[in-house]
Formats: sequence, C-alpha cells, structure tokens
Amino acid sequence: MNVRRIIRCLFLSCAVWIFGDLRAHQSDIDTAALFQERIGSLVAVEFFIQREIDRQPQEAMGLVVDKDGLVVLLEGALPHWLPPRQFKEFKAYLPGEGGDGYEAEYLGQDYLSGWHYLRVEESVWPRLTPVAAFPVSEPAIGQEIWGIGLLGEEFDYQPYFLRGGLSVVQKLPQRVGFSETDVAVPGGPVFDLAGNFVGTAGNSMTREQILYAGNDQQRVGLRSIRQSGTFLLAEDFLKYIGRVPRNPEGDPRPWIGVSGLQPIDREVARFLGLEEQGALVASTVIEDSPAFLGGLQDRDIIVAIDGEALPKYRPDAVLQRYFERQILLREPGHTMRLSVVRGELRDEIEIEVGVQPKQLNQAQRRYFGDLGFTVREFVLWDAIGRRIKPNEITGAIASFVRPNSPVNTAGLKRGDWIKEIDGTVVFSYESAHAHLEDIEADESREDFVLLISRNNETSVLRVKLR
Amino acid sequence: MCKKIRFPFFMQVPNVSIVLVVFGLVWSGPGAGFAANRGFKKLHGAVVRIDVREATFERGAKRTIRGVGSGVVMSKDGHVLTNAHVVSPQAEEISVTLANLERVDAVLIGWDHWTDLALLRIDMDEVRRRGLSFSTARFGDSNQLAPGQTVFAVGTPNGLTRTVTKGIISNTKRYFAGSDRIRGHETGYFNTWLQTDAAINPGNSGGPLVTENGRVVGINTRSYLGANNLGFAVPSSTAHHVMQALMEVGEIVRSHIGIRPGPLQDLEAFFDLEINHGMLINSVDPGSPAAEGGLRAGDIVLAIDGRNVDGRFPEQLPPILNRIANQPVGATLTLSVKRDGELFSVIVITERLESRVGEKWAFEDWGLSVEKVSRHMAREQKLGSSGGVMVVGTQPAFPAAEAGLRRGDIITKVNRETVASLDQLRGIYSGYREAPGNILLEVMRYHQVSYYVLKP
Repeated sequence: MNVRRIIRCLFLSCAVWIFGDLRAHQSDIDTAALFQERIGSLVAVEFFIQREIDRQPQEAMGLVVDKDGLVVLLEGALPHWLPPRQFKEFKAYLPGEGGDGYEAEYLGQDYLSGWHYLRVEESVWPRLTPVAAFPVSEPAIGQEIWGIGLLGEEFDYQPYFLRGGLSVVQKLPQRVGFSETDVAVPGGPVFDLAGNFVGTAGNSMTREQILYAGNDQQRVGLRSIRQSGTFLLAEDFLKYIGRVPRNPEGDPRPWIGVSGLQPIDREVARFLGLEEQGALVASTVIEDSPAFLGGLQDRDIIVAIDGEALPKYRPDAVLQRYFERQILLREPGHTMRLSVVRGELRDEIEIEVGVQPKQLNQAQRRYFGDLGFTVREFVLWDAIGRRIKPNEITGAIASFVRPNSPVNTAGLKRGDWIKEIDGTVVFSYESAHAHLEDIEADESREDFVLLISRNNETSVLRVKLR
Repeated sequence: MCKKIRFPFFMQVPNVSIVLVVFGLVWSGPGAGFAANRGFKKLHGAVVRIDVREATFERGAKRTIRGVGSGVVMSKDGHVLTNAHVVSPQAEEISVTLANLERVDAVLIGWDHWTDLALLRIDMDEVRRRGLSFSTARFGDSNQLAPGQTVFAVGTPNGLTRTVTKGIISNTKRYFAGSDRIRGHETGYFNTWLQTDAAINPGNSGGPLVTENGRVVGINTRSYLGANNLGFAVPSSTAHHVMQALMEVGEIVRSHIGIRPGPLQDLEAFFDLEINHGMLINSVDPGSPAAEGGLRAGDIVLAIDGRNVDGRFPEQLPPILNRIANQPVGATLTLSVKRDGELFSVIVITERLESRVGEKWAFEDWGLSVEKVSRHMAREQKLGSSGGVMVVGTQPAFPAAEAGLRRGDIITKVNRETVASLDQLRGIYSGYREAPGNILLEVMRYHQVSYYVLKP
C-alpha cells in the first residue's frame, strides 16, 4: 500500500464518519418537528385599554404555562399605573391560525415576578402545550439555542424559526442569558437543539449604534420590539410561575417603607471600608412605615439582611432589585433584620414587614364627562413625588384632562393636585368626588372654582360651565 | 397661541469693521417726513454699541463668551444704561463704541435682572486722556405715552451699529404672565412693558426707545423672534428709578413676602368682592414671610397697610408687587385679608428679595461647575437650610464626570461635612490642589441620596 492509497483511505474514512455523524445528528434532532410541537406553547394576546374618551389596542405574546390555559405575559405588557378594570376584551390567538381568537380572562399581576396572568377559554386548552411540559435544561456558553418569532397581526401571527448561541449568563439578580442574535419573540420560550426548555425571552436589550446622517453622526440606542436575544433561564422562570394572583386588583404586597434606595459604587465602598459586600443607601424612610417604626433612618447604609451580607452585583443598580426582591419574598408580619452603617456607627434594625399602601393602579378614580376630567385618589406615591409627609396627604389628582373641555379651558392640566373646590378644602378623594358630582348634577351652575397645585405653585382656576 | 418670547440676546459679529463702514453709508436720518431735531440728534450721539467678554461656568470649566448689545449714555460722568441680559456681573471685559466710533473701556456699576437693566460707566480717564466726547440722553415720561404715538428704536441690531427703526407705541402696559429668565434669573415681576412695532432685533437690546424729540421713554429689551414687529421696552418710569438706585448704591434692594398674585377678573362674584378691589393670592412660597404669617393660596388681599389694592387685571399686578418691593427689608406690613367670607388682618415682615439663581463657580481640576443653591430653591425643593451646591456641568474625563456626577445633582456634603457655602467648597478645593486625595461627596439626585468619590 503506497502513501497515496493510505491517504485516500483515511480521507474516505473520515468523510464517511463525518457524513454519518451529521446524518445521525440530523435524525436525532428533527428541528422542524420540535418547532411545530412547541408552537403550541405560545399565543398572541390582544386587548384594549379603555381610556376616558378612547380605546387603545394592545398586543403582547403569552407563554402557556399549564394545561388549563394559564398564560403569562411580560411585566411591561400592561401599564402598571392603570387599574385592571381598564384592560378590556382579552383575546388569545394561536400562531398562524387567524380567526376570531379565544376569550381570555385577566387574573392579575404577580408582584414578585412582575408577570401578568391570563386564563384562556377552555375550548382551546387541548391545542395548547404548556412550556412546563418540556424537559428543562441549563444551556452552556456557546451552545446553540432557538425559539419562535411571531409576525404581526396582519400575518395572523405567523410563527417563524429563530436561532442563536448563548453568549453569556448574568445575574440581574435572576439569571439572564444573552444570545449573540435574537432567538425569540419577547415573552416567548427558548429551547436548546434537543428541544429542552432553557428560558423565556424578555424585552430585547438596547443595542448601541452610531447613526450617520451626511457628515453628522450620533450615538443611538435601538431596541427590537418583535425579537429578543435576552432570556430568563428556565429554572429561575419556573420557580415562581405558580404564583397565580388571587386578586386582579393586586394581592397584599410586602413593604417596609423605604424610597430612593441607591447602591454604593465600588469607589465609595472602598472609601467607606465596605468593599467586602454590597451596600445600599436608604434615601428616605417614610414616616410611620415599618422601616421608620423599626428605627431605620434617612441615609442609613444597609449592608446585610438577616445577618447575610448583601451580594455584590454589576451593574451596581442590580443590588437595588435584589433588595426589593428580598422584601417581596417575605410575608407581611414577618421580621426582617437589617445591618446598617450610620456615620461611624453600625446598628442592627428589626423591621416587621408590612403591607404596601394603595398603589397608583389601585387608587379610586372617576371621570366627570361634563366637566372634562378624571379625579383620582391621592396615594402615597403622589406624596413621595411631591415631597410631602404621609400625614399631610389631602386633595385629589386630575389624572386626565379632556382637550377643550371646561376644565381644560380654565387651565387645568393632567397631574394637577386639586386642593380646594369652590373654596372648600378637599380632604379626601371621597369629598372631591361628592363635590364634583354635585356640580355636575346642578344644571344651573355657571361656574366653579378650583385651587390647584402644580410644581409647588398653586393657582385659582375658574371653570366656566356655560 | 402666542409664540414663545425670546430675548434678543447679543450675538457675535464676525466682522465689525465692515458693519461700521456700511453704517456710515446708510445713515441719513430716521425716516421720510421726519426732520431730525436737535434733541434727536443729541440722542443719536448718546447711543453706543457694547461689546462684552463674559465668563461662563457651564461645562465644568470657566469659559469666555462674546456678545454685542446696545446702550445709551445717560450722564456726563459716562453712565450707560443697558440691559441686564447684555452685561452681567460675570462680564470680564466691557468695551463701549461711542457715536464717533471711538472705543473705550467700561465697568459694570450695577445689575438688576428683575427689570432687565444694567448700568455701566465709561472709563472717563481714558475719555479725557484721548480727548473723546459723547452726548448724553435724557429721559422722557413713559407714563405720558399714548398708543399710536411715534417712537424710534436706536441700537445695534445684528451688529449694525446705531440703526434707527421707526414705529408707534402699540401698547403702554404690556404684561407677561410667564416672564422669561435671564440665564435663569427672574425678570419682569415688577414692571409692565411698552410694546412697539418699531423693529427690534437681536443686538437692539439695551438701546433706547425714544420719542421724536429724542427723549428716552424705554430701554429696548425683548421681541418675538419670527413675528412681525412685536417689540418690547422697559418703560422709562422704571428705568429712571433703577438707574438712580444703581448710581447711588450699585444695587437695588427690594423686599418681598413670597406671594404670587393672580388676576381677580371674573372671580369677584365667587369671592363676593366689589369690582376693582382686592388682589388674589394664587400661590404662597413655602417658608416665605407670607407663609409664616399665615397667608394661604386663595386668600384675597384687600389692602396693604390700610391702602386698598386693585389686582383685577393682569397688568395691575406688577405695580402691587413693586409697592411691596419698595418697602424696607424687615418692614412690618399689615394685610387686610378676606378668606371664606371672613375679614381679618395678617402681619407679615418683609425679607430681602433674592434670586433663585445662586453664585456660580468652576472647580477646573475636578471638571466641575456648580451653583450655590439659593434660599428660594432650598425652600422649594425642601432641601433644608443649607441647601448645598448644584452641579451645572461637568467636563468629560475629569474627576467629577468620572465619579458619576451629573448636571442637576445637589452636593449636600463633602467628606461628611454639610456644604453651607461656595467658600467652604473653595477651601476644600484649595486643599485638594495642594495635596490631591480622594474626596467623598454626598449628592441628592431627584431627592435620592447617592455617594461619589472624586479621585485625583
């Protein structure tokens, strides 16, 4: 056997081996079949936001998480400041199917994960495939991953295949994978080549680009709205997916009453001798809150929870999310022990976790159509924004002003703080509501007067009704 | 809908010599049918061009900007009246071009941003040494003006020296509710404006508005950019008073009590008031003497020290505020007030009026420019008594920017010590320059506390 024959034999052997391996690989993994099978774990969701004088159509992608039609939507899919009763007519559409869709019921938002929950009508349950039914895997760096993209409503949400590779996993503080390319529609599932569930796509990262326009250039950030290369790892997703809200209006949310938590960066930590762990400044401790009653003070630097040092994260801002999650993971009534640095002193503070006061979307509100505005209850969030103490809360907020309405003509603007109506101090939402109801019902009224506050300045507005 | 009003801020003129030559060719009198009388000719010899080099502290460093405006010589001692937005206390070099095209230096005597007026004084030693001469202008009575009366604006619009434009008085008491600001400083609270259709362009600022006999009835101040001849001038009744005070003491000391009035028009029935009697208090500044005295938004002030007030129409409000401003600082005022149908008196002790804009400075080794937080701003933002200093700019790649400071941040503590004054910070900066080392800053950003380390 001469050398040339030996080389030819070796080449043929290698070719057969490589070809055979490829065929075996392809026969083991039928990506198209996996893709078809997993389309059933995704639905497109349409709904309306009912506003005072119009309706705003919305769409989002929902991930099917159980066999009884439970679907979750990303945190930002619905505006958190609006009451759930303004979300109307949820409908789920199977990818590529078209038609009139299937009824769905909004169940609420989980305060810990931020996911919104829906239950779609029973008739479609057999056609759905819960993502939790697939084996779970943890992808390795460099591993190929894929997911499902969805075209828009005009294409009946036609599904399409997306593929990428895992570039890095970051703790933010939950583990988030970043792919080199977009791998799924935001809210959609991500799989590995074997079809294992590896994560759920979030909103895409903003990619920094340079925009050239003639001789000018500008740094811009671009974010894809239909595809994403960022995903929450499956294990971290599934851990909390059973937290189905009990009340669409919001479940009691653990709270200690600190606003303006700011992480301390590495240089400051070194300066203060706190470089061994993470640290957060509590900018403002809300009066009479659990933290206030426990003894936490403005500007205290929190370094540990229940004796466990705060972890260090990059970027530093992740620590704030970590701390907030630590509160949300506790039950109201439970005790939370914080180690704090106050000037040169160290202190231990015990806080009994309370329930968060009414949030913006829970505030009472009413639209007075004849007057042309919505009056909303003044909540703690408003007080923090206006730097007033909780015990100084009075009045109500104009949360919507109809263009060219009587109040708009008088000068009222959205966000104005209504302090008096017709010279009577508004002590509560109820008193504002009652007073405005009387005005609206009185057909002989020619005008009324509001005292409002805007940017720390007050104004008297005369509203002409006829 | 009104267009946004703009000050015709002075602008750079790249080739002044050409402008001056052209001026010599075009000047032939103010207009057809107008025989320039002695008074007008004298006025013409009193109008000057003003070139300014001014320091700014905007981006973490001290920089110099150039500008051009107009002015009018009002005394034989070389006093030149102009706008506060033409020459400010940050001016480092002021040059005045006289009517005979000779250029002399000048210094700032006083500055009053509240009325947008400034007073300069020409270097008279130089004038005498070089044998220069100039005319002086005289004030006319702006209170005697009537709509339709002919007036002339004289100045340096767009660098075109001593340009005369002709028009009429369009309105004698123009009121602006949301007054513009001069580099952040308040203006226009205490006076109304003369409105004219005589063309006023950038560069006219500080020049006189005169009658046919050359009497100064206003100082041209602002115009609507892009509109057709909507110009405004500070009336001589205000300018004369301000000029006298600046000549005598170099500043105007005013009182205030911290109220913002609103017109009562159409609200008389609601408040059960006689027509033309009373002033509505729209807003009371937190922590101000009015707030301390117990005044509230929605109160009606019927009289001040027994003298009735009438704030029915918007243009009636500045004179009322001016009346309070003219009281001595620390004066006790008795306000007759109506609230919820009840009449009572409120005693208010005036305090000195201060701008909401504090002193600015740049710490160049840090790449940090700051502004002292004023009393007004500290109260408004609920920052406590000391206030601290506000970051107005940083320079990239310098310690402040590298540490993470941003425009709008308020530095409340340095190395754990409360920042009470700019001088205190200057002292720390001097120490840093002698022995550079890490400095810990406590900063308020959107009312949230953060810490930063300035590293050499």
